[in-house]
Amino acid sequence: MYPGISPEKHQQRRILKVEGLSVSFPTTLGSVMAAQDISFDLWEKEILALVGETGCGKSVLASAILRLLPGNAVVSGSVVFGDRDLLCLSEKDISRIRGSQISMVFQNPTLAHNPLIRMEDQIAEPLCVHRGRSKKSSRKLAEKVAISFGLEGGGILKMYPFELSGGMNQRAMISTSVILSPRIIIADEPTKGLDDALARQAIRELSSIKEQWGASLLLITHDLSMASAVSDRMAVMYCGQIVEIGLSSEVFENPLHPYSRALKGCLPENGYNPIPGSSPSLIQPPSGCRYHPRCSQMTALCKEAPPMMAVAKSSSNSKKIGMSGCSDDRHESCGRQVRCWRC
Amino acid sequence: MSPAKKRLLRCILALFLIVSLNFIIPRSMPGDPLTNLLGEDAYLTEGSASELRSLMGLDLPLHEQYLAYWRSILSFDLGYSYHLHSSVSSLILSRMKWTLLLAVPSLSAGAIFGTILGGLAGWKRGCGMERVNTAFFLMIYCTPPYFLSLLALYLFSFRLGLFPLKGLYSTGSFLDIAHHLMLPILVMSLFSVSRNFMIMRGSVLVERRSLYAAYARAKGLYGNEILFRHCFKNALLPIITIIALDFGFIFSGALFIEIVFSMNGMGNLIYDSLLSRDYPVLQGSFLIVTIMVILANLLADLQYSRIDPRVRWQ
Repeated sequence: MYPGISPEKHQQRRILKVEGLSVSFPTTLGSVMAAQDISFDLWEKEILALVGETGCGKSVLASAILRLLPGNAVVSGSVVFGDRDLLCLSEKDISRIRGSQISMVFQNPTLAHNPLIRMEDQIAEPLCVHRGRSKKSSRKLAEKVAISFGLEGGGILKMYPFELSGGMNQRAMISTSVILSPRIIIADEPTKGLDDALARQAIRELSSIKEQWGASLLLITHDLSMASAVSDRMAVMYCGQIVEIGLSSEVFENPLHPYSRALKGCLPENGYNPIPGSSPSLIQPPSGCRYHPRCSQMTALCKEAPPMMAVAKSSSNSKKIGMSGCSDDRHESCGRQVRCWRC
Repeated sequence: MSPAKKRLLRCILALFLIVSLNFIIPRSMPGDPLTNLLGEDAYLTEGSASELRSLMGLDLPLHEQYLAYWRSILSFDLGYSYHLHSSVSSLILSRMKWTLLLAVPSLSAGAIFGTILGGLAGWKRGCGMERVNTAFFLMIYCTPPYFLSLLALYLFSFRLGLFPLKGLYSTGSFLDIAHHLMLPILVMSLFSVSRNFMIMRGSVLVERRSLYAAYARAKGLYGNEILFRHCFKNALLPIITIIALDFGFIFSGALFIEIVFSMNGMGNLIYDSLLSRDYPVLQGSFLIVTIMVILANLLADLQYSRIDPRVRWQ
């Protein structure tokens, strides 16, 4: 049941172009490089998964796109949405995009809702704020959307967040994120804190957004198998950098970067082999390739010079599912890219 | 039973216990109750003493005294002040209205302006206007009330002659009373605003760091919208109790202001009767203060549960 890439994909357009995005936080111990030189494209009606272990900078990246980082963050690069660079907009202009054009699903749905406000009003809030609708009329639409995500009966919408379960709060949050039919939804660890059944349901709901609401989804997760199951493309992040990006099926079936391979080896069905060592500090990341201290195929070169993102040869598998249809402009972004000296 | 009813019942119980304690305490004090009631400077002959005793019911057995005590309280008979030669209830009633006239506008202004200005200051922490405001209110907050009152009296009344020097009225017309009350109300409001400002500012500083505030921003709320649609209500919770207690202690809270501006209000009444050991007045005043505090607590509880659904549920 992999959505994969549909044949008509070449007609789709790019809606978000992230280029050279770096985020650092100055601290007393030094500058924390949370994300470095991140570049990727997001295409219309596509699910792009950002995969990586905790602390690799995925959530920072998500917040950086919508400029939701704390004031001390130093951000460079560009995030082009439509014809505008989101990083250059005024706070007022970006606030008009947040929630209406690009919305976000937070990782802790219970804490992200205001404890003192009824669920229906929180779901309806983007309507009041962006469309200037009255509370009453926006409640009606909120109810419709909430019902489509399974929040109905028992006066759930009249309840407060603390009266609902984590899964219900999650659905309320997803309802809030789609209520204005945004073009992009950024979901930051949407399955965190949910049990397995609920997590799967949340993923089903999120992937239905693509079809039902016509939005692209930037899915941020540490769950490799979940990402491969729902996403069209996948980017693997390590220590603030994207180390590999490509079609999900390809990256998952045939990972090229040693880290992606090791990550796959961590999965229970692959023997549950932990990666040796621990993730490095983001204040003084390792020289050369950031993965080299933990890499089993490390060479002298890996220690010294940081590898560039290289376009990898597409495997024969990708041709079968329509990669040949890519125009030249697109080839670079839907092709496989790996940040490793050995690839 | 609904939570509101439960709370009401608890208040009634508290009131009953406190009124009973008010009966027990003076009777368990060492010494002659007459001395306590009349003061140490009153000398009585044996005959008039026993006459007074039976008049006050002090020769009755304790349980009958207790019943009589309740009867008099329910008919708002709080005894007789031998110092001021007046019944306590009429004394309190006449003083109460002046204190209310002073304190209700001051505390209301303090509650409204303190929370709004404090909320904005917490929200816009670090911007120029906010810094000036915070420094100003912090200074007021740290100044002893009597000092600021004296300063205001000296400056505005004595030096500039803008306001009368003392008292509540000279002719008794509305404008005259307003003129007299203006400066004390201003000073008292300033204190109330500064205290609420500091608390609300701190409360908003905590709330703005919460995840729901971040999520509100992600939903597209801009600037003050986040404060007034979300954080303000949440930040209000700790301050509700404090404002309610302000109103609870309304009669004793204005003591310094009343003394400095020589106003004959409740604060001065309690203060004077404390100095002259006028026990009936003290007891009566404490009873009123107790009732006010319990009522204010009840109102705070109800208001709290109206705003915070989590409280309602418990």
